[in-house]
Amino acid sequence: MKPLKQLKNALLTQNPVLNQLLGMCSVLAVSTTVSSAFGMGVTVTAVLICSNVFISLLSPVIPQQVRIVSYIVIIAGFVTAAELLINAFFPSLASSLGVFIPLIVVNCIILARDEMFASKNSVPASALDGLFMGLGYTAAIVLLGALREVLGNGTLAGIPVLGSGFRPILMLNFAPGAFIALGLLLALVQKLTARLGQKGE
Amino acid sequence: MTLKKLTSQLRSGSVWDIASRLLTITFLVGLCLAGVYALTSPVISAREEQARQSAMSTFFPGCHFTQISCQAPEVERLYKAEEASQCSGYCALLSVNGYGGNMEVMVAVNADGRVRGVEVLSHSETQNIGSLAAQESFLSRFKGKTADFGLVQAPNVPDENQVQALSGATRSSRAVASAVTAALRAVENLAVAPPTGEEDKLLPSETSALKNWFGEVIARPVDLPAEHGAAVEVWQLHSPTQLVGYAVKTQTVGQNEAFKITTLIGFNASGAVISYEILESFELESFTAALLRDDFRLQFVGRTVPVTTDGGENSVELIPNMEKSCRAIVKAVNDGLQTVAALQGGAAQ
Repeated sequence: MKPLKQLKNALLTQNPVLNQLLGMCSVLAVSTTVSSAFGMGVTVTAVLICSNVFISLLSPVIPQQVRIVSYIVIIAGFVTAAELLINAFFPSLASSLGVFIPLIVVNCIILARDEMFASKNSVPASALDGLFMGLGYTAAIVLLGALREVLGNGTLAGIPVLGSGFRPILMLNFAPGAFIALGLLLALVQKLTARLGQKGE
Repeated sequence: MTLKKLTSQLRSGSVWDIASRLLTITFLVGLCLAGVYALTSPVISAREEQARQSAMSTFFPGCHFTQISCQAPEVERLYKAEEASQCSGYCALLSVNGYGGNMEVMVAVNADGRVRGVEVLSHSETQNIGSLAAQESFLSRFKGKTADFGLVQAPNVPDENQVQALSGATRSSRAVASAVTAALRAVENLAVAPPTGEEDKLLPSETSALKNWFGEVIARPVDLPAEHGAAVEVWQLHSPTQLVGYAVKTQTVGQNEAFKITTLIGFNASGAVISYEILESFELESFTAALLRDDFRLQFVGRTVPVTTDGGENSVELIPNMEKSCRAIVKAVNDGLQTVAALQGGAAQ
């Protein structure tokens, strides 16, 4: 177990969103505001930790031939539980995440971590992996959410930051704007991590 | 996988092994979900109910609400809003089909049959397109409209009794408009319906309660006597040959001060309590259930004189921690007794 390396991997060099380009659907859809992006990040992190722990725990008894089906069943169980809990205790978050909570089931980050990491590693390492990868996802979606909310609406987490003279770029609130913003963000991150990689060598 | 391989696996038992493991995993996940569901569903439904109540209170501040029966199939529930026993209007709860699925709509109607306000309680319309139909800027266009209003598309300018649809979200606009029309029609029909004296005025819950207590009887509504307390309606119950008893509907305040508990109390011909049924309650679900449990309810059966709570001869025992709710039932029964006594006194004279 190398927690520090795992953390650096998840946040920078192997960030699930910005480097591996996984889970794009929810990143594009739920990043209109910082608060809903953060809610989505926390939910995905929770599901990721739980499913990683359980799949690492159950991997000896899960038959190789039907492992993907088993993973999906377990993930779907946690997502449904998360949806019920959010509906019951965080109604405002439920209305802003809407249909994207059930879609966490098919978020490929979770399936990828379960297949690539949790099924082959110990329970504590898998829990940490879930936490760090979840943080990486949260960081990416919140970053994009902040970009879109500030430029598209002139606010950050609901607080006006750019003054009344600023004319918001309305397109950023819609799907095409989400793609463009994500593209720019990816280009920036690739540039920075490439430089980081060169320095390391 | 070839057939040969499959048969060899079947023979060696590995397919059964895989299937049984998968089944076990699925079963366990299902079991856990059932637990989470049991934990969250009362919270979720209480929250939805609260959202409905607060929407109603925003439309009619300071009023209290009673559910009334409604024939219109589109209307899930219809409430009458009253302030100091003056009817200020109605709230209808409807469920209509939008573009993305079900929309739950609350329509408030003034006593004169015009729209007071509209609120969309839940929907799954497309974000930023259909969802605009759930926002105040669109919903306020319905204010003051009567049942024959029309919906017009963008280039046309709406006149006095028309509402402009949202361009690009026609189906969502239509869904809200259809809910408003249905609510207005339902309220219109209420006004046309004969005011009193009809046997079918009984709600299904009332009919079934009476049937439990008396078997098949004819319920004939009678005028409330002068001293009726919290009673709102009284019926004399007749078999084909004789008077078999009375039923009194009361509305009393429990824990929830804005929404009264509606109780139906049955009395036999000599004026003793037979039983009671709670027709509508906005108390916590567990409170309502406790009020109906035998250990509390049976204390009232057979009473002919008003009950007290002072521990004396005619006293009943209140359920700890929910005294307020219990007192609502005590008052309901006492006012029912008073009403029936007044009726019998009137008949004797």
